[in-house]
Amino acid sequence: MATAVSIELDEKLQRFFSYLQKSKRITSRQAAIDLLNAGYYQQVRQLHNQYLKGDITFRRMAKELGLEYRQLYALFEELNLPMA
Amino acid sequence: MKKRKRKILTLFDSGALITSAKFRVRDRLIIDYVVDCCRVNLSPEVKHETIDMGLLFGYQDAQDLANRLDKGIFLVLNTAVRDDALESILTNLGLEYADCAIVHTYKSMSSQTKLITDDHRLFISTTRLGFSPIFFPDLILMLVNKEWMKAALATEILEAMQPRYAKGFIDLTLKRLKGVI
Repeated sequence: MATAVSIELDEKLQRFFSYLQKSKRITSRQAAIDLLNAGYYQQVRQLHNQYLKGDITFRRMAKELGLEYRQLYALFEELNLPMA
Repeated sequence: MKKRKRKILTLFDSGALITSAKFRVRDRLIIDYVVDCCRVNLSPEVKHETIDMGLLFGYQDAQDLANRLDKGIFLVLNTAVRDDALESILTNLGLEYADCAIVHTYKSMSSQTKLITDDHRLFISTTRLGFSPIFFPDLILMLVNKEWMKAALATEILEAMQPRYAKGFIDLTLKRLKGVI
């Protein structure tokens, strides 16, 4: 299910956003999607590191990402992230 | 007359259970080899996370687990009574609701029960509580050490489940299996 959101960028982000569109020759929509994806997967990897170190449980990681246990297991499979 | 061996009593956490139903060795799911040697018990929370939600999302392994549950191959235990003092300790250790439920269930079971989990935080927390949790690959090793399973089959099982573990994790179990360390 796709969700549309409207956000205002501060000047710093606006400049980066413009640069991204020009340098990659992509639409503003695609630039926004790329940025959000990059942020999301970076968050997943950070939490996965915390999980593997035993700082948080698998269930805590699922909660932090707004996922069910099953969905997080599937995400681990998709990204080839180890359970232990 | 040879005395019949008693199966190992286990309580499975969700991750280990899902992994056991994901991979096949010699045309059988790993869980089927496990239930040959172990009495597999689940807390209601683990059943919900693995089977109920798995069926909802359409995972084949959830269907395979549900079929085995229907045949009585493993058992879902009653909801354990929560010990308030312990609950507060567990929450302070960073455990979530279902993590705590597993600990309460485990505490209500026989001291012979092995808690099978691949969650490091849960492993550390339960070890500090004086329990003896086991990572799933090390359960396979235990089955060989207790002469429930041949080393050759255990090696195949460990190699099959390798994709779900970090490099080195299964290697350690394999080396222990071969007696290298």
